[in-house]
Amino acid sequence: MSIYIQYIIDAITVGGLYALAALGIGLIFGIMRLINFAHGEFIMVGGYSLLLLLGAWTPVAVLTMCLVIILLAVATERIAFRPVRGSDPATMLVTSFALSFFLQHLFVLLFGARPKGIDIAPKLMEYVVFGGLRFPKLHIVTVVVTGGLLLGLALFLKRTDFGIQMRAAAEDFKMARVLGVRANLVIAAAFAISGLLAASVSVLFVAQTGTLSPRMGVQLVLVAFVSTIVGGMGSLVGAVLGGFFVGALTVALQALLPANIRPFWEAFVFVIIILVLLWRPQGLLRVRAVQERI
Amino acid sequence: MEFTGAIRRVWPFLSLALMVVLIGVLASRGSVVIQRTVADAFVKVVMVVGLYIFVGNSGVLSFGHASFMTIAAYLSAWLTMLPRQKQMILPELWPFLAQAHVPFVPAALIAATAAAVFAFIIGIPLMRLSGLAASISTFAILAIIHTVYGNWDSMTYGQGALIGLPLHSDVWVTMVWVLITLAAAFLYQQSRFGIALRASREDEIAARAAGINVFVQRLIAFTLSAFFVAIGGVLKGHFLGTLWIADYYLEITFLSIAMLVVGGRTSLAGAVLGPLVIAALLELLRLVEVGVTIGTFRLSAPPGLRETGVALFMLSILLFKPKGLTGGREIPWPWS
Amino acid sequence: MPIWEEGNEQNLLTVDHLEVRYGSIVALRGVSIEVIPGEVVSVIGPNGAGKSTLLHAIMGVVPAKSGNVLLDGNSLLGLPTESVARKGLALVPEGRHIFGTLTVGENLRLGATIRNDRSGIEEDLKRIAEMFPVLGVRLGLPAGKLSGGEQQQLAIGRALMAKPKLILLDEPSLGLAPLVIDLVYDTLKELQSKGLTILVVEQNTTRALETADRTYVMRTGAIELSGTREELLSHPNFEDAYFGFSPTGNAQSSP
Repeated sequence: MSIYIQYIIDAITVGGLYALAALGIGLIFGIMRLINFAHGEFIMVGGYSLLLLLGAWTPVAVLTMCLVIILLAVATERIAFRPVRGSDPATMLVTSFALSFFLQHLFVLLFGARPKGIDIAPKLMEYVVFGGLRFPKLHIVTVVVTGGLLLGLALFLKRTDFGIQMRAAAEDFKMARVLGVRANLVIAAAFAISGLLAASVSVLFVAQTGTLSPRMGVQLVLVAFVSTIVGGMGSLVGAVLGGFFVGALTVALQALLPANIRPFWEAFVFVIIILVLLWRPQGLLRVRAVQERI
Repeated sequence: MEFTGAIRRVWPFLSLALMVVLIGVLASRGSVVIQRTVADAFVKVVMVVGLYIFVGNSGVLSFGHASFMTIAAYLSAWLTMLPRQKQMILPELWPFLAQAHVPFVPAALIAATAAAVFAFIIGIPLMRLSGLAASISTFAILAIIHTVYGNWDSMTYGQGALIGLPLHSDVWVTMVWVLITLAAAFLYQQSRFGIALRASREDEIAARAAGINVFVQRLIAFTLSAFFVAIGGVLKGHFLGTLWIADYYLEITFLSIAMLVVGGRTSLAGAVLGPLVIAALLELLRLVEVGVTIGTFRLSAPPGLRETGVALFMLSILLFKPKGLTGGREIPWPWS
Repeated sequence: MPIWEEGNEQNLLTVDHLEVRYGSIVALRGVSIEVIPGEVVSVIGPNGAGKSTLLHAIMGVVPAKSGNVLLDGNSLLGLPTESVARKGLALVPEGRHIFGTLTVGENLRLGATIRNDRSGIEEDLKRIAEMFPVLGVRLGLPAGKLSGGEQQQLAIGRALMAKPKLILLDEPSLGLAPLVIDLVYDTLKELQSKGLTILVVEQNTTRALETADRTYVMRTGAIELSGTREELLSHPNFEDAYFGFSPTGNAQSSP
């Protein structure tokens, strides 16, 4: 019994991380129809920033790093994405990929390609025993941070005027502008929030794995990308849902597959993803505005 | 005058073919380094033109083509490696593969055909999807093949480097394959299949209304495209003589797409110029990385400069010429 | 020949020889119209005449190649859409374009994006809810669940929340049942009596002519005729202008 609760906690932790990453991608995608592959590099740069800030007191270091990433995100929008705004999706996609490629190799240039060890909060890896279960404190932190961010974002989007404007822009950008919503401001805000989400993923991920490498963002952004699409393109709730779905799937497969097939677990995840897309091409949550209009 | 008319009609192909032959001939007279660089560039051209057959004509981005490269490259390895080597490196390889020893050309054709058959089979469910769902599904296929081949240690040497492929991809061989791929791409895009598919690229609903079976057209292009991309994978494998599963995953996928988009996604010229320009730039920057010796001083740049430079170049092209270097046009007839 | 006076400073809206192209296709060829404060002006014409393009160009959604758009004497040309909205123009687009994933109340509040006065916004929200009772009872529901007619009312209510100087409506009767069309046009008349200036584009010629003070007739990107209902109906070329063939039944060549 307790092993299943263990799995559920794992699923929530992994799913939460994926959900945060997916939300970062989904927010931008919803508003601009742009898939920001460089989001993985925002996470990576966050990790290396923590390395540089290691001497400082942890909360200050984390806050500084968040600010750095938010600025990076807003800057990349202004410099790299605004000129291609409104171009066809393939051009925007390749732009974000080129940016991602550039940042990855820039950091290879600066820090070398070899992975580096980093120990940001050793206390978090200490184990907590609770009612027959044993898990690292980091899991609790992950759940709390994920929950907090999701709740905060939900309140912002639901309760504030600007949040409503952003949701409107995510559904129908042109119409939002017709009503007077300022395009540039909404987009900059979306990137800023996306940066904050990337920073939080960075902290949690680095705390968990303890290593940094210039390529660490690649796998995460792919999972985030896939989660957004599976959860429902253009829907923020869908991105979160997709993240939890893929996270749960990952944990479930690694737990349930017999040992000799286990190395192939990723293949099973993707088979299921294909099946989901064949069944519901718009993703698990359908957003009306995204459907084809004749 | 009919003769000129005929030449004019095939000019988009002829102009590119002449350019490729010129580069190939010039390279063959150069140093070994130049020959290898050009051969590598030609391999990239085969891959990107192969990709273009599907992406350029259908407008659907595929992230899965590296899976065809993987399937074909490993099959070609199994067929062309010496049985002796296979016994040592892959002792658990299936017997009929372990004993096989096929010359390069038939092996390449068999491998590419197998990849094309695979593409046809997965295309049946996937080509019904459109837009982003299609693109993600193709990526899922790549991830599946990558996981399977990457963990199938007995057959593929898993994550490690499979060595022992005979080196066949020199300037001449790769050049010939570029010409074949170009001819195939050109014939396809001039055919009624290519035209029908391009109609669906512009306006899928209108094309369906006009009676075009978009699913069938996409499937045809997908299969044909897979064949040539697979050839590219085979050529790549026989260029270095080693296969590394990581070489056929994310970086090659996105680089191919980027080279196509930078060249100009909707024209054959774009599919050729994109990889050639990027390959040239990569080589130039590699020389900068290696450095130059002036007297007793050595000036060089740190590793990573090459890719950073290429990425910056791609970004600039996308910002200033979003339709790519060719703007989606073929090479114009010079006497009009 | 269009009937209009040059340089009328009392115009709320002046469109002056506006030209709009989509690539090489000319959608609007030198269109000029004017709207006086307090008027209801309609633009009618067959499909493809460029009526929607005219409204989009006024709002800045599509760029104009040449010509001008003046609101209260100030040029709107080249301004981004959100700035045009902030100058006092509100558009009720064809197809409604309400935000389906937002609630009815959120849709209405979005209409007031350009405003700052919290209490004024809340008051107006109540007023709109009274004017359109179907919206009033559904403020918390997702707007995507409304029927076509209800969505049209929402779109109009949303536009009114901006307290605009001029409201633009693009084919408000499209896809609506006759009773609902009645309601919409009665509401427009009522709004006019309260001082709102209205520019409405329609394929439903009868309604447009009945409700408007003046009407422009457009065909293939240009204004063919204009005038009051009586003037147009008695005009010998009215059917020509609309349908593009002469009374004898022969097709005219397009300009």
